[in-house]
Amino acid sequence: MEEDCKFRHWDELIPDALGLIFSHLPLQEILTVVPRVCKAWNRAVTGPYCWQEIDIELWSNRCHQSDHLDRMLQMLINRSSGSLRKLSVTGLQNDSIFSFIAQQSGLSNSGVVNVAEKLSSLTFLDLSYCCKVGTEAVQAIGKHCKSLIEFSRNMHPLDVASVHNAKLKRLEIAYHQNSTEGVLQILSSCIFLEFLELRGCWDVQLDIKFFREKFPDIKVLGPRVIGFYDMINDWEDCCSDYFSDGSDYLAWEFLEDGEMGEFYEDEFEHGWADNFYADRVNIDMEPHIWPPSP
Amino acid sequence: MSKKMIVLKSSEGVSFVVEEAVARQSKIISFLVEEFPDRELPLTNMTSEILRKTIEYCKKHVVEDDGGGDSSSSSSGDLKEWDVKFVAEIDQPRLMDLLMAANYLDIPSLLDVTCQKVADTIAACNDEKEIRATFNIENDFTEEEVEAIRMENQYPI
Repeated sequence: MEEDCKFRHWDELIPDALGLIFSHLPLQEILTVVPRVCKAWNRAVTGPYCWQEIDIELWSNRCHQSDHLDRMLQMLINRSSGSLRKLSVTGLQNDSIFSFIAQQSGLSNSGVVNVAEKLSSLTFLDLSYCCKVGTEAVQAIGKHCKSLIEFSRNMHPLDVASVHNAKLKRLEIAYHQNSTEGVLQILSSCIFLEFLELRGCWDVQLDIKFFREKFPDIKVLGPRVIGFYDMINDWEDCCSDYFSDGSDYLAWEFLEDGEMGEFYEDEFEHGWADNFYADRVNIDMEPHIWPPSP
Repeated sequence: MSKKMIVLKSSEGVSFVVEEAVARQSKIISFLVEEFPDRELPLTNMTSEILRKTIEYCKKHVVEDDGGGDSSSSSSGDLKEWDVKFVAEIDQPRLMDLLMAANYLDIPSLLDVTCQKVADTIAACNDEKEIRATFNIENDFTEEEVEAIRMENQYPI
């Protein structure tokens, strides 16, 4: 570091520092402008340093052609060269791309059931709206992912969630057809659970008094579906007004899709960013549009 | 009880006496302090100016866990504002030195704000030519290579 030198050689920065800088840029900038600046910068954006954390959630929300999305993912994950630690993407359409992600992330084998065995160090998993990921797979995740602390599986109404994992702290199973007994079973086997989302699980009838006595440390959201602001502002309401006539979801219709995305991200930032885990996979098969109840 | 102080020495041999809690925001110094207690730590690749800047940042960000009342010296909003001002006042060559220092000393939050500042500068440029001019980078591509990169990067963004 020459004190007198007026210029620094920004092209000679070590690649990991360049990677860090570029990861603060928008996707479009990284892929189009940066590689054209000079050879060193081009090498940095095609190498793994930029892509240890891939966040294309915003882009993938707008990308409606699955082949584009697949191509983008394959390219970026290839660039990460097995160093991928975090992936945020929505709208994945098929199993093969999921297997690809799993394989390239240092895991092996296709299909979530097989993959789950290799995901034992995973602490965060979001499999919301992954229609082709079935009950069997979710059970396998519960069984094998021993370190899992947060699990999200918010669905279109079609499924029964069956999760038994002693370490789990946060569980989201919106719009599942679980019975009250099913939920109580989950609650008694997940002893460290702090947060349970049950919005839209219309078959669940929790006796609030019984629940508070038995599980005083667990916050429950739902089964009633209410507006996002209410949800953030008032936990008490969420718990006490759980008997629903099923019409509250109408509130959602006033929101555009784009706005939904922003709310979700907002929650992401404030709720989870503070306790970031290195081994996060956040995969939503469809954009964040909350489905109305049937 | 007086606070434990440690001594950091810049490339010019200037010594800086710093509270241990302040210096420990660098993971490297934290490690060195444990390995070599009661020794001066020579930082031969850092000028006095950059070391002073780095210490200034660390002082602002140190969490005061021994005093009562507030757990940190500033609220997070104020701190963010302070960070923005801190990097805004630094000229480009020194910004790179500071970024390298943050990288070398392993101070994640300082690395993050400096990287963000560089990224903002890049994003403010209209094209690669402007970026080269801003950062004084020479175009080392041939015509063919430029074309190859253009073809390679045709993604539906």
